[in-house]
Amino acid sequence: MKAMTHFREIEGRSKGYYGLLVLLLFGIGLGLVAAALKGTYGHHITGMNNHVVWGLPHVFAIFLIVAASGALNVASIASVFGRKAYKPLAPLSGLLAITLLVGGLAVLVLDLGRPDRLIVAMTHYNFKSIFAWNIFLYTGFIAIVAVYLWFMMERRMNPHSTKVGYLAFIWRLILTTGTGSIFGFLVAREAYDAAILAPLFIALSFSLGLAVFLLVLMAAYNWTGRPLGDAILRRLKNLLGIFVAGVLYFVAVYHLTNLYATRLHGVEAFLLVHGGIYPFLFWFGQIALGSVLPLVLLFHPVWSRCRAVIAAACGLVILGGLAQLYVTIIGGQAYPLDLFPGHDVSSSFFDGVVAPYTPSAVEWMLGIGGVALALFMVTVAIKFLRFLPESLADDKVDPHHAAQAAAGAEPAKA
Amino acid sequence: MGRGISLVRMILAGLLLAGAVFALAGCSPVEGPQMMQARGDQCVEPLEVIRRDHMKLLSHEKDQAVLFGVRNPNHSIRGCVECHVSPTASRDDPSSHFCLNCHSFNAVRMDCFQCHADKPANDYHFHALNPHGPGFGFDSAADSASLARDLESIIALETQKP
Amino acid sequence: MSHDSTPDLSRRRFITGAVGAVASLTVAPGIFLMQTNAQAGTKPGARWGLLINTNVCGDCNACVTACHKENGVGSMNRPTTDAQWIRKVNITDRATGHSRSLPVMCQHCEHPPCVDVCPTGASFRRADGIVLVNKHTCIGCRYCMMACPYKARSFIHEHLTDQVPHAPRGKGTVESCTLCVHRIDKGERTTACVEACHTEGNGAMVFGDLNDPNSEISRRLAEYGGAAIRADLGLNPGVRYQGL
Repeated sequence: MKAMTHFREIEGRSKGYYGLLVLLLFGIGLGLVAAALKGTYGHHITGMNNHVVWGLPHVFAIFLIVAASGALNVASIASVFGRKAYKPLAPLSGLLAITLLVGGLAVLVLDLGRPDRLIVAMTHYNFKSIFAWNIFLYTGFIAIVAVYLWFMMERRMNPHSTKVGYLAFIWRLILTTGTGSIFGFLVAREAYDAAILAPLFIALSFSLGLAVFLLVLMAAYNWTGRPLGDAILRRLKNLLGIFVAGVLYFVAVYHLTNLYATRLHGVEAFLLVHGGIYPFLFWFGQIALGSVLPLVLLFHPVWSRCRAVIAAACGLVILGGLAQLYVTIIGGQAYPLDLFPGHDVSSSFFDGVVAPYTPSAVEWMLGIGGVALALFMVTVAIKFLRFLPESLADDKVDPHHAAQAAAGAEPAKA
Repeated sequence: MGRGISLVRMILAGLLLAGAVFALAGCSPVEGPQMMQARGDQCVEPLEVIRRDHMKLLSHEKDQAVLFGVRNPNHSIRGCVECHVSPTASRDDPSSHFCLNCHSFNAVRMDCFQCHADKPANDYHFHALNPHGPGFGFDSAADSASLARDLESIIALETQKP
Repeated sequence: MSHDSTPDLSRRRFITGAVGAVASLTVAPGIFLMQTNAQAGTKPGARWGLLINTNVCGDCNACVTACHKENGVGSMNRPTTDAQWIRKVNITDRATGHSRSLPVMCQHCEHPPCVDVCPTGASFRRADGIVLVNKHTCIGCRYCMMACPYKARSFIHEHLTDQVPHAPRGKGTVESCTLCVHRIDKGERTTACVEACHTEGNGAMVFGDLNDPNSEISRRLAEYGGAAIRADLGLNPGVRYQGL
C-alpha cells in the first residue's frame, strides 16, 4: 500500500515563532539601512574600492544564489532520480530554492551603484554578457520552481510534477554553470579564467544547498515538535558528506592545474601561502573547518548519530563555503593584475601591490539582510502553506521501515 | 459579527472619501514658482514644442551624441543650462536654476544633474539662436582655442625628432 | 548619414521645428553649415589611438594632471576609491634591472572585455574605436572593472558636484578615459594628455587615426613599431607603446 504523506501548515503562534520573525525582520531592517546608507553616501563608506570592486555583499549574494540552486537537489532526487523517500521533503526544498535566490538577488541588486536603474537591467540586454544570461536564468529558475511547487502541492497537477522536476534540475545545472562562469570567463585575472570553476560551483551548490536545507529542516521539526526520523537524516547527512568530498576534489584539481603552470605560481603562492588572510581562510576556514572536520563528523560511526553533531557539521560546511567564496571572490581580486609580466610594477593606482580590502559594517549588514530575508520568507511561507509533512518519522518515510516496524522487528542499523 | 465589520469598513471608506473631497475643496490655485529669466530671446524650438517635448529631444540627443557622436548643439543639455541657469546658481536657491525649479515644482524626479554639470561653464556656449552668444564654440565645432591647440601639437610633432 | 537627428515628434511639430531651422539658416548660414558638419558623427573609417614612446617618457606627470583637469576628475583624498583615468606606472625589468615610466589609461581595445561582460550594453565601442561607458544605462555592477586587464576603469564612490560640462560624471557609475571624445567630436585632433605631453612633458605621446596610413601615428608605427600591453590576450588595443 502506498503511504500517504500529510502536509500541514505549522501553527506559528508560539512566542518562539514570533520571536524568530522579529529577529529576522531586524536582520532585514539592517540590510535596508545599509542599502539606504550606500544610496546616500555612495560606496566609499564600504570597504570596496577601485581595486577590490566586489566585496562581502557579493560573497553573501553568491553564497545564497549557489545555495538556492543546491537546495533544490532534494526535490530533484525525488523526482528526477525517483527516490521515494525524499518526496515528502520536495516542497520545502523548492521553497528554499526560491527564497534563498530572492535573498541573494536582493543583496546583489542593493549593492549596485544605481539600484534605482534595475529597470534598465530588465530592458537593455547585451547577450554576450554572462550577467545578462543570469538575469534570465534567475528569473526563469524562480518561475520554474514556482510551477514545480504548484504541481507538487496541487493534487490534480501531481502527475505532471516529474516533468517540471526534470526541467528544474536541468535549469539549475545551467544556472550554477552561469554563476561559476561569472568568474570562469574573466580572462584578465589569474585566479579566475578557468573552466573548472563552473563544475566547482555546481559541486559547491550541492553541498551548501543541502547544508542549509538540513539545518532548516532540523530547526523546523525541532521547534514545532514534529517527529523527524533518523532514517531520512542519515541519508541526507551521508549525501552531504559525499558533496563536501566532491567540492574538495574540484578544489584540489583547480589548484593542482594552476600549480602546474609557471605563470600562475605567483597567484597560487598568494592564495595558498603568503597572502595573509586569504591562505588562512583557505586552509583553516575552507579546508580544515569547512571540509575535513565536517567529513569526520558526518562519517564518524558514533558521533554522526547525534543530531547536534550533524547540525554542527552543516554549520561548518556553510562557514567553509563562505570562506571559500571569500577567498575566490576577494582573494582573486586582491592579487595584482599582471600588466607587465617579468617586471616589478608600482604606481599611485595600486599596480603591482596587493589591493587592500577590509569589509565594513555596512557590507555585513547588507549580507545579513539578504540571509534574513530568505529565512523570513521561509518562516512565513510554512505557516500559511502546506510545505512540511506532519511527520517525517521513519515509518512514514520509508515503506520498508514501516513494514519492519509492523512486524515488530528492530530497525535496521546502518 | 460579519455585518458589523463590513459596516465599519464602509463607514471608514466614506470618511476617507469625504476627507479627500474637503481637502480638495480647500485648495486654492497654486502659485507657480518664481522662475529665472532665460538669458536669451529665443528658444531652440517653439515654446509649445519645447515645453511639451524637451525630454524627448534631450533623450534622443543623448543617444545620438553618446553612441554615434552625432551632436546637435541646439538639443544638447548643455544648451539648456547655458541659457536657463545662472552661472552662480545654487541648489539652495531654486529660482537661480530653471530646470531644477520647475522639476521640483512638478514633482518630476530627474537625475540629469547627478552627472551633468548643473551650471554653465565660464566660457559661454550659447546655442545658435541666442544673439548673446558667439554662435559657435559649441561641442560641435572647433573654436579658435582648439584650432590653436591643434596647430601647436602639429608643429610640435613636425619639429620633434622621433 | 544614417542617423536622423530628429526625434519622433508629431508631424505638425516636426514642420514647426523645420521652420525654426530654416530661419536659423537665413539668419546665419555659416553657423548652420558648421552644425551640419558636426552632425555627421564619428569620422567614417577612423580608429583613434595613441602611441607612447616609453624611451622618451620620463619622470613627469603632465599627462595625468592635464587629463584630470580637463575632465574634472578630482581626488577626495581617499587613495583606494579615488578615480584615476590615467596613471603613471613605473616598471623595472626583474631580469635586467632596466626601469621605465609610462602612462596607462583605457587602451581602447578592438575586442574590449568590458564591452563583452556589460549586462546592459552600457559599456560600448564607438564606430571610431573609442570605448566608452554610456552612463545613462550603467547600473554600477562593476563587472567591467573585474574584466578589464588594464585596471583602466574607476567606479564613482561618492556624490559629486561641479562636474565640467563636457565630462558628465556621477555617483554609482563606472568611468574611464574617453580619449577626450568631446574634443574629437568637435573636430580637434589632440587629447588633453597628448597636448600636455608636448607643451610641458617630453613629447612622448602621439594621437591619431590608426586606420589612416598617412597619419603621423600610422607612419611612426610603420617605421618603429609599437607593442600592446598584454598582447597575449589578443585584444588589439588602440593604445600602443614604443620601447616596451
